[in-house]
Amino acid sequence: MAALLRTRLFAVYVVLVAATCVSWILGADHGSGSHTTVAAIVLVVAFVKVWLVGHEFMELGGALQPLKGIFEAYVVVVLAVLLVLYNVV
Amino acid sequence: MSTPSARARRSPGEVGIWVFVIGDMIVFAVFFAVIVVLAAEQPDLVRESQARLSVTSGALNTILLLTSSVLVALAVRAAREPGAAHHLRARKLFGFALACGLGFAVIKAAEYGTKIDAGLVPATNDFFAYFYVFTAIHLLHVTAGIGVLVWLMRLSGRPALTAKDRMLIESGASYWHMVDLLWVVLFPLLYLVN
Amino acid sequence: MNSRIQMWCAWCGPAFVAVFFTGFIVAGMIPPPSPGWNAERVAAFYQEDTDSLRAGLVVMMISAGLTAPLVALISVQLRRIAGPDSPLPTLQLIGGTAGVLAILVPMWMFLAAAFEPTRDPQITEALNDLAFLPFIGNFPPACVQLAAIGVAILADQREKPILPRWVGYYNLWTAFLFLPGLLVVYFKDGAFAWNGAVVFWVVAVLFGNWFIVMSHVLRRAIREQRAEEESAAAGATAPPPTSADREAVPA
Repeated sequence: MAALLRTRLFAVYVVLVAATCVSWILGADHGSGSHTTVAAIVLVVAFVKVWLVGHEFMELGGALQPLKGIFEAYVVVVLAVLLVLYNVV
Repeated sequence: MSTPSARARRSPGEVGIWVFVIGDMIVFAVFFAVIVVLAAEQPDLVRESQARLSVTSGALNTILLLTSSVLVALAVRAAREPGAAHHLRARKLFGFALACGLGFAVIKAAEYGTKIDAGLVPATNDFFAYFYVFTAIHLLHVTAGIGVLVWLMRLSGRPALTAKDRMLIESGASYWHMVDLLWVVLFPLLYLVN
Repeated sequence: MNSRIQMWCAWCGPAFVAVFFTGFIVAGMIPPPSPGWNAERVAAFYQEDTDSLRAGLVVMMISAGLTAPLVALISVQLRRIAGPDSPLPTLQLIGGTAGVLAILVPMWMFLAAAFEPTRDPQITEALNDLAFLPFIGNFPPACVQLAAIGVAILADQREKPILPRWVGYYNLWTAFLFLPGLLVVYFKDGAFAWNGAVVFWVVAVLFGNWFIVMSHVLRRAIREQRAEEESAAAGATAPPPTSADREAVPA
């Protein structure tokens, strides 16, 4: 069990759960601050999480091209398109 | 594929599963865009509707899927080790992941029930139409994934695993990570972003 | 000889896509008229450019016939994969046959609406609904067909499968994404209406793509089958060829 807690996977998991909680608190706190800023932060955090799940859990970090490239392009392009559609940028 | 140098840099699972996974991710990207366009066009409607959702159940479900995903990743690594003990551990880890998946489905069903009791149905407004349809399509993926995890439990428990078995385990695991990954975006889009 | 006929059947896939979507565009139905339109607006759509509309619909109706050869070819190749006593090739054939009708029948309804465009707008609207709902929402035949293909390919235990395994996953994935078609019944606007992003645009791309992909992988399977048969015939007199020889047989 102690060995498990020291693994890289577990560290990634802790980061993912922490990021979820940050979004949860930011998003649930309706009314304060600019909606657009909060939306942008929450979206960026979500896609960082997507990248972590893909890179670490799916093991795409060590995957052959073009798979790794397709995944990374997906994360960047989809996030950019969503931000544009949301009039954030 | 099996030479030591290729082992360091290779694609997990069989190539075919990535057609499914990347394809599904692209279609969900269209779903994401549809939700964002609604939020940009009718911000008040989305804000009022989101206020009636339970962020807690959405967030709990996110944590459940992230947990199941890390368990599956650990199980895949255990299944790569030779020896029956590691394989039994892999099976146990897949079992815990399966329990998290079932937990997700139970929370989702309870959430649907509460919303329907409160008179919030797909016909209520555009937001709830999208909420029900997209979460239901995702839940369909979870249901299929639960089947996949049952199959992975049976497969990984064998004392000796062939290279093909390991490839199938990686393929099934990749599918389950995708189910997690899609929810990681759906949750903030439906529950938080307005 | 059969190999050449099979090739012709395979080329019917891209031919179908070209003819079908040409008709679709000529008919002025891309983008499709909205399900949210009132009766007068729908009637006006049918009155506006009735000649192009009819011409496009006839072309689309003709294209339905082009799907049949590809379906027949898939059954032949699936029979090779799954063996004589598997129900999967027949299941594919049933789905594919219903698929021909899934295009044909809505075309007749569209043509009936375009036949007398100056009639009571309420009737034109009803005919338009009657055509569009099954045209966009009729997912069971395609799902049955594609699931049968997917399962047959993934169950192939050969060292070198007749159709590559990714094609199996591809078919299952496409079948899965046809399912939201059932939502057309409930939506008059947005992503799930019959002109919406998910139910129309995504499915239209997947649908067209499927014919191109299947044609491509089947043509390769046909070439390999021909090479195998030729080397088997040569093997009767000559020593058995190595796999390198088999690769070298011209397509």
